[in-house]
Formats: sequence, C-alpha cells, structure tokens
Amino acid sequence: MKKTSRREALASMIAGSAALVAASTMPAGSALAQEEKVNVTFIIYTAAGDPFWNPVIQGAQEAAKDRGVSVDIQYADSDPVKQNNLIETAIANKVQGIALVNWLPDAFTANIAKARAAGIAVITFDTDDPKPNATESQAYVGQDFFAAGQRIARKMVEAGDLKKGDHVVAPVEDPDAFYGTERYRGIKAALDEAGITSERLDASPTMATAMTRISQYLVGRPDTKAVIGLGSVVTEVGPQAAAEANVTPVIGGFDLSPGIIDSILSGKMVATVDSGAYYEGYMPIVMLYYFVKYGVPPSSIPIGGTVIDKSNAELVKKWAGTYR
Amino acid sequence: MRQPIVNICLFFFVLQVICIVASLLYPNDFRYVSQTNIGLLLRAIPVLGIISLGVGVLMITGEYDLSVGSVYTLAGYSIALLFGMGLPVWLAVFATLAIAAAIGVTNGLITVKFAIPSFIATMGAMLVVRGVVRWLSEGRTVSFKPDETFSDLLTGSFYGIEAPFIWFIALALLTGLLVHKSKLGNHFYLVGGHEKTAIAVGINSHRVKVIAFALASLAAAIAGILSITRVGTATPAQGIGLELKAIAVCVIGGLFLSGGRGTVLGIVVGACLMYMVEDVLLLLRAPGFYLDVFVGAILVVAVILNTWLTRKAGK
Amino acid sequence: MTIPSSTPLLALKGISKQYGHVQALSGVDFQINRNEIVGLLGDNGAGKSTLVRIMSGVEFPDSGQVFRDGQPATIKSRKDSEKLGIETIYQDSALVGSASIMRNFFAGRELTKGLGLLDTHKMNAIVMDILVNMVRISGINSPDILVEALSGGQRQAVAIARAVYFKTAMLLLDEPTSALSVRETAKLLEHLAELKREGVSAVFITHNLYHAYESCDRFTILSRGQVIGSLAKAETSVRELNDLIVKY
Repeated sequence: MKKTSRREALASMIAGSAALVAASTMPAGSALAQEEKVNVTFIIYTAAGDPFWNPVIQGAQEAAKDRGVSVDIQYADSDPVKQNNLIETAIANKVQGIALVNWLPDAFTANIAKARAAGIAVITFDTDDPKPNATESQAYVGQDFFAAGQRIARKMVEAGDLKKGDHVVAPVEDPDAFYGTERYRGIKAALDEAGITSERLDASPTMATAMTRISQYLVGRPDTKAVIGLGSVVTEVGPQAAAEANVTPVIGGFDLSPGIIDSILSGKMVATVDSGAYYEGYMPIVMLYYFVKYGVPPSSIPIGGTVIDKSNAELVKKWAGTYR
Repeated sequence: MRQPIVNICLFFFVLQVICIVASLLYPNDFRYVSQTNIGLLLRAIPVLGIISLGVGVLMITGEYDLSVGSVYTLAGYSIALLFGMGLPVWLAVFATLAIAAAIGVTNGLITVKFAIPSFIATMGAMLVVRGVVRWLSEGRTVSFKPDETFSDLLTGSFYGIEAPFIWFIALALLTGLLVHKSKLGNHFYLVGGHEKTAIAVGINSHRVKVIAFALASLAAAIAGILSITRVGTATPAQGIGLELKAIAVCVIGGLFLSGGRGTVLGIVVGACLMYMVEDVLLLLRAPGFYLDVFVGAILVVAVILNTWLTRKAGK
Repeated sequence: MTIPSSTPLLALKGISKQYGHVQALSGVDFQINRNEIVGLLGDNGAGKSTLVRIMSGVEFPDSGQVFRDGQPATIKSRKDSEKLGIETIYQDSALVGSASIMRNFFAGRELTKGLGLLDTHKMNAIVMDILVNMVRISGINSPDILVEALSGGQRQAVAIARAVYFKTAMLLLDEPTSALSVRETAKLLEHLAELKREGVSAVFITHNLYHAYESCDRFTILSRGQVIGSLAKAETSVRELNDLIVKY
C-alpha cells in the first residue's frame, strides 16, 4: 500500500460526512442519486446525426441530471439487428432501465420480454407497436401518428381551401419509415373523408435530391393543391421545392426545425405538427427512475401532436433545437 | 472500342427527341419542355454530375472511392461552420477544398502504400468522415447564408442558364482536358489499363493514383459546396448512397469497373441520363413512392443495352 | 574520350539474387557487346527472367556490379535502365491493351506542348511514320487503334518500333515468340536482323534453340542460377547447345 492511502481514506470520510450533512438538508432524491445512480440505456433508432433527436437527447440528459440517472445513449442505425444487439448488451450489463423506440412491430417484442424477465424496466418512446399491449413495454411516451396525421390534414384542407377532387402529395425521407406510414394513414383517412386524392413520394434524405424530386413531382402534377412532408427534411425543403417548380400549393408537414419555423413565420408554410420531442426524452428517464427507486409504475403519455402555425410559432422559434 | 460512348450518346439523343416531341404534342400532360422543368434539371444534374466526374477519373485508374458521399456532407458542414466562425467566404471555400484534398490523398496513400483494395480503404474513410460530421454537427443542421455575390456566382443564372450547370460544364471541360489531352491523363489510362506495364514504362503509378483520389475528393467537396449554397442548409444524414450512384453514372456512361477505359463525355451524358430517368418518370406520374423500382430497372436496362450494342459493334 | 569498340555495352559481374530460400542467381557474369544479338538460354527456373528484370531495373541484385561502356553504373529503377539505353519487351509485351497504339508508343515519354498538354498531332505523325516506313507492319492504318485489337505479332512490332524510335542501345526480349504464330515469328526474327543493322544490340531469351541459333551471334547458357557456358555461334551448333542445357 502506498503511504498516502491513510490520508486519502481520511479525506473521503470527511467528504462522506459532509455529504450526509448535505443530504439531511436536501430532498431525498438528490442524496440517493449521489450514492447510487440508476443506470439507463437509451436507444435511438436511427444513426446519430438526425437533428430531430436534439431536443429528445436534451430532455433525456436534463432528466438524468435532475434525477441522478446515468444515461447511456446508443444509436441503432435504423437496423433492427443492431437494435436487438443493443438491448441484449444492456441486459448483459445489468442496467436498471431501457428506453427504446419500437419502430418495427414484432421486431423487439422478444427482447423486451427478456429484459422485463431480467427485472429491467422498459419504456418505449417516439414510436410504438400500433397493436395495444403487443409488447411487455410498461409505457409509451410519444405522438399518436395516426391522430397527428389526421390533424395536419384537416388543418391543410382548411388553410388551402381544398375541395373534393383536389390532389395532395406527401413526400417522405425513407419509404420504409414507420412514422411515415402511420402519419400518412392518418392523412389519407382525413383526406378520403373529404374526397381528396393523395399520394406518397419517396424523396430521399439528401436535401438537394429531396427538393428536386418534390419539384419534379409538382411539375408533373401542377394540379397538386397541397404538399404535406411526413418528416422534418421533406417538410423543410417543401417551400423551396414549390418555388422552383413555379407552383403555389399550400405546404405543411411534421416536426420542427429552424428552417421550418422560419417558413411558417414568413408565411411560406401553413403549419407543422409538434412531436413533443423534449418530453420523449425527459419523461421515460423520469419514469424509469421512479420505478427503479420506488416502484412507481410508469404510465403511457400521449405527447406532441400540437399544430404549430403562425399564431404560436414565435415561441417555438425561441427554443427550437433545444426544448422544441 | 470507341463504341460505348457513341451508343450512350445515341441513346440519350433518341430519348431526348422522343421526350421533346411527346412534350410538344401533349404540352399539358407532359411538361418536359417547360422552362420550369429545364431549370430544375439544370440545377439538379450538377451535384451528382460533378461527383461523378471525380469518381470517373478515379475509376479510369482502376480504383473506387466510397467516401465521396461523406466528403460531400463534410464539405457542407465545413464551409458553413468556417463561414459561421467569421472566415471570409472564399477562405472557407479554400479551406474546405484543402480538407477534401487531404482526405483524398490519405485515401490514396492508404490504398497504394498498404496495397489494399480501395473499396475497403475508402469504405473506412466513408465511415470515419461521416463520424466526424456527426461529431462536428452534434446531430444538428447548419445553415449557410453567404452574401449574394457568392451565392449568385454558384447558384444564380447567367443569360437564362443555371449557374450550377455552367460550373458543371466548365469542370467537365477541365476534366476532359486533363484526362484526354494531358500527359497525366494518359498516365491515368495506362495505370488503369495495366498497372504493371505502366510501371515497366517508368510511370509512377502510386503518384498517379494518389492524384486521382485527391481529385475524386475535391469533386465531391465542390458538389457539397454547390449544394449547401443552393439549399442553404445541410443535414448530417444527407449524401448517403451518392457514392454508388456516382459509380452507376460512370458505368452508364461507358466506363469500366476494371479501369483503363471511358470518356468524360460519357460521364456527363451518364449524369444527365440518370436525372432524366427520374424526371421523366415523375412527369409521367409514375407512383412516386415506388420510384426506385423504376429507376433501378431502367438503369440496368440502359447498361445491358449499351453493353449489347458495344459487343455487336465489335463483331 | 573514345570508347574502344571491344568494351562491352553492358557488363554484369558477379550478380547474385535470392528470393527467400531460393538462390535465383549466384555470381552471374553477363555481357552485351556492340552490334550483337545474345541468346540467353536455359531451362525453366534457370534464372533468365530474373536477370532480365535486374537489367531492366524492376529488381535489384543482392550483390554484383554493372558497367556501361566500362564505367560503373547502377540500375535501381526503370528510369535508370532507360537512361542506360535498355528497353525490355516482356512475354505479354509491354503494352496496355485498352490504350491506343500512339498512347502506348509514347507511354511515359509523351511529347507535350508545355503545361503538360499532349502534342497529339506530332505523336500521331511520328507513330505512323515509324510503323509504315521502318517496321513495316501490315494492317495498321491508324495510330488510334487499340492495342488489344492487334495480333500478337503486331504488338511485338509496335514494341520494337518504340525501341527503334527511342534510340535504344539494347533491347531485351523476354520470350517474344511464345505467343506468336509461325509467320509472325519469322517476321519478328526479320525485325531483329533489321534492328542489328540499325546498330541496336539485343538479348533474346527463348526456349526455342532453332530461333535462337538462327538469329543470335553468341549464346549464354544459364542453369540453376549459374552461367554454364558462353559460346559464339561459329564455335557451336544447335545440338551442342541442346546437350548443354539438358546435361545440367
């Protein structure tokens, strides 16, 4: 043993007692946090880099700081195999909670059950299996895509004064994306009711390409009365795509980004739908913490789905990219 | 063996005539010859076209670069971040191009010095550079709003012709001069045609390849700069898949995967064809959601047709 | 200073080369004299190709010396051997199939108009002139024909024409007849004789003793990396050469 060890031990004792004194004057949660952090693996389903997740990550990290949770953020690169590996790794590492995006129905059911059997708390966020109680996930925090789709479609019909027989295009970054499929189902349901035709367009996640494809579509179908982007990239390029095609459909979509908010404020875009991204990150961490510490059962929370238009965009702009 | 380029040009020409005639007959249903559509094409072709020029030069030397999609994205971030830090825009351009050239040289050196397939070396670079973009961006989009002189030069129009297309043609002419008319260009073909022979006649094949790698990276960066100047924003997820599309453009244009053959004109026509296919499909109101099915099928048919005509002409 | 004509153009002394455990050459002496065609003979694995590669700068010997006109010289790269006036025509000929005749002819030695731009016009004129007037190859009417479209004999002819044009002093031919038809071989042997009249020396590496005997002035026989004999044409016969190769 080294000579300094006794002094070190003494120092840690003093620090320890100081912490005890501090604990007595602080809420119980913080004191527990300092002693023993709750370990949570937080799995985002895409590759790192999609700006959509910024507020989600901010939410998860702030919750972790507030509650004393050690959060490990992982990315599944849109690969169900990788996501299953990440879940299995988390189980092997004996974490206490897992938050994940259930973006592919049936793909993660087995491993969610395995985690639960191992005594690990599981909460899904952002996307969930559309069948009720399909998995053993204890709660879902996120948008109801179908309802959100219906909401934006109705808003667009109203704003664009769309009538029976009109046509709407819904571009999407990735034709396989579950959010796109579900949101479009909602959009189509609302538009079908009004007798309006609609079609999806595979636009690619590369902005320049997406813009060109939407423009080309609009040149080919100049009778298109509205463009509803199913994700953030295609929503953002919508106004410029219409300008380059020299047509003036009403434009709207999903998600928030500085570009989208600017377009709404300048009137180039009618509306977008908020995904409540901050809560998607914040709430799962908080609920996992209280479940692990005190056994408080998690509960599903429908968040987001708020239509953002000119009336409320200014506030969103203020906190875009961090809390919105 | 001048045949592939003749065929592809003929194919392109016939397709143009058909489209133009169809468009004049049915101006309301097929708006191919409309100012809007032509403007769109002239803005859209250069991005993939310029990347393909670089990838094509490299393919002539018998190598590949899978990192161009990532370099394209990095260039957007690099110029936006440097400009955002207050660097004059031209300095930001220069620094971005220098970074890209350095990545290309590294790709080249790794490939030739360790004698590993460039497919693997540049796949590594593809992942590394994309990782750097994520780190730089922290997952966020960046915007790039330079002064008007700069953006007009890159994305405006001169006498009704879109600036990006003028840049593309200028770069294609420069590439043509280099590849077909210069000593170094001759060395590209000899190294790609039969590297051992090229070495036996005293050509430094390593140097030649490293230069080609640098050019491929530079071209990707130029495309990235053009693209962010046009769109104003870059996202970290963009550019994925461009590397394979660029290789496809070159093959359509008559370049060989084995190297040593091909023309710059072929690359230009290949890039135009690639976009034309997408454009015509959308104008014809093909189901946009399943567009890739049609694009993929047509590309394969185009290459089969080209190969078949070439063999037939060779008999 | 004039060099006496008896001084060899190129002399190699005590050349050794080892690949791992294989002693490819051990203490080989070899020389090429003025205006002479040397036959380099030997069975497979005797070290003929290694010796050629050393003279053309593709390989570097472990030990030994090289003299050009009696002066010590080093051959470390293709550029060095080119400077000494050595040109090699390999078995598969030193041409790139996918490139044109002209681009092969001037490969690595392109004529430029400055700024690295090719003087295509001038190069085309030279190629056609040499091919038509000096080497006299039939069937070639354009410098733009791709080499892969030529027959084996035509390719050899292009390579030889290149050597003639660039004033090569010594031409190393590594198994040039292996892929040729009988007629093409006859034509090639004719070219060799012509080259000699032009003052070019040559080393002719072959398995075919009849071809060698017909065209060479002197023979050097290798076996297992060593020289086992060097004979002038006048003092030997095909039979004796054959016995020598077989015996060792």
